[in-house]
Amino acid sequence: MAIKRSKDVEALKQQFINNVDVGTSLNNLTELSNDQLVDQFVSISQQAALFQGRILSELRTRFGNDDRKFGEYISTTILSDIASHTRTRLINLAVFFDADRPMDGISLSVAYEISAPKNASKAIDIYSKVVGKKISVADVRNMFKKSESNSYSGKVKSDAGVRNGVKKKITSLIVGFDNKEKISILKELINEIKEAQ
Amino acid sequence: MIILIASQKGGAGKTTIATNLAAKLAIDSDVLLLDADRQPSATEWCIERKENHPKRPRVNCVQRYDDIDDTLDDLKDRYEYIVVDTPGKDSIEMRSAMLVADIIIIPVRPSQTDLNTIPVVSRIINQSKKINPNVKVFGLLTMASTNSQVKEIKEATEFFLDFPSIPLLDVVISDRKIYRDNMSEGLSVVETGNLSDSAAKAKEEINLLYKGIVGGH
Repeated sequence: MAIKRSKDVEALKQQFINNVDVGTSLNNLTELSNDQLVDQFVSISQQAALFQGRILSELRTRFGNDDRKFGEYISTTILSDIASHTRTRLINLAVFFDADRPMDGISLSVAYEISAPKNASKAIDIYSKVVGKKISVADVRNMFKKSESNSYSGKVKSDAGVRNGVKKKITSLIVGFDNKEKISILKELINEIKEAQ
Repeated sequence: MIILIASQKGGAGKTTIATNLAAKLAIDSDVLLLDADRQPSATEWCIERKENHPKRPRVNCVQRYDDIDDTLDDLKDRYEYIVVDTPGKDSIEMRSAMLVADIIIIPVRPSQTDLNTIPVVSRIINQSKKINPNVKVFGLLTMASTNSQVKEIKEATEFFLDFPSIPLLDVVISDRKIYRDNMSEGLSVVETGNLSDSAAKAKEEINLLYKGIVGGH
């Protein structure tokens, strides 16, 4: 098939070919432009995270996906240096992105956000909107929040399931605070709602 | 038509597929086998064929390395089929050939370590499709054990369901001595005089591969 080689296509072609084999390219760092070096860094970070996630996932499978047994085993190895939540993030990342989903234009922090189980119901939708677009993690979090709030619109607000969902969501957002701070935040929120009435 | 045989891992039988397919195509077509692997097994096969079987259907051979898309673009009008054998890794040769190929065959053994390369290969192919959107891509299970292969084939087939951009060909190429014997002689299993059951099955595999690729195109 003949390809018309516009300048854009030619640049895309060279970018595609130059992305070859990280090991080889690392031998030629002095020949790369600043942009190419940044691209290499991102690419290596993504690949490393994916492979780490795959390895951890495989390990966990060997313990019947039993997190307690898996954790006990990890604690006996050098992998205990990696925080538990980091291991979980890596596994989630590998599970989501290994399903034929490229990480083009997606930073690692965005990838972690998309692959987090708490975002599972909207992950594929948000992923399709951000892939290839270099959107910041703050913007992606906002997209999830907006998507979450939209999912409540039009629903019967008195429904116990909906109310519990909202409470769980709020709880998950303030989970890192101590009880005193949690109450303080909620009081502020209540006051703001009252003032808005 | 440019047919690229590519994979990210060695030992999947790329050269076996490339040479057998090239010889099968050469029965009634003008064929070039382009060896882009610096371990030139396909070229050695060509030399054996030329020296020992000069009356067999002619398979033209060339070696080209690095960025080969311009070369392929240039050669494609001179041959009905160009079969490209690439190194068993992500390489400039593989990527540049992807940009002009009409068909990409991804040979893969039905083993976990080999199947683990598919997510990366899938990503590379998806990237190449931005430039070469009409390329057809097929996975091909190769080097399958002739004993108790049903389970591993089934599991590998299920694995590929997660990668709809790489549909599996129906045929499975088994690990048979007859392939190795014919490789070293510069022949294809479709040309062998061996009348064994294994030879007949290998011949059938290559004929089915041919039909799957050329017949379905």
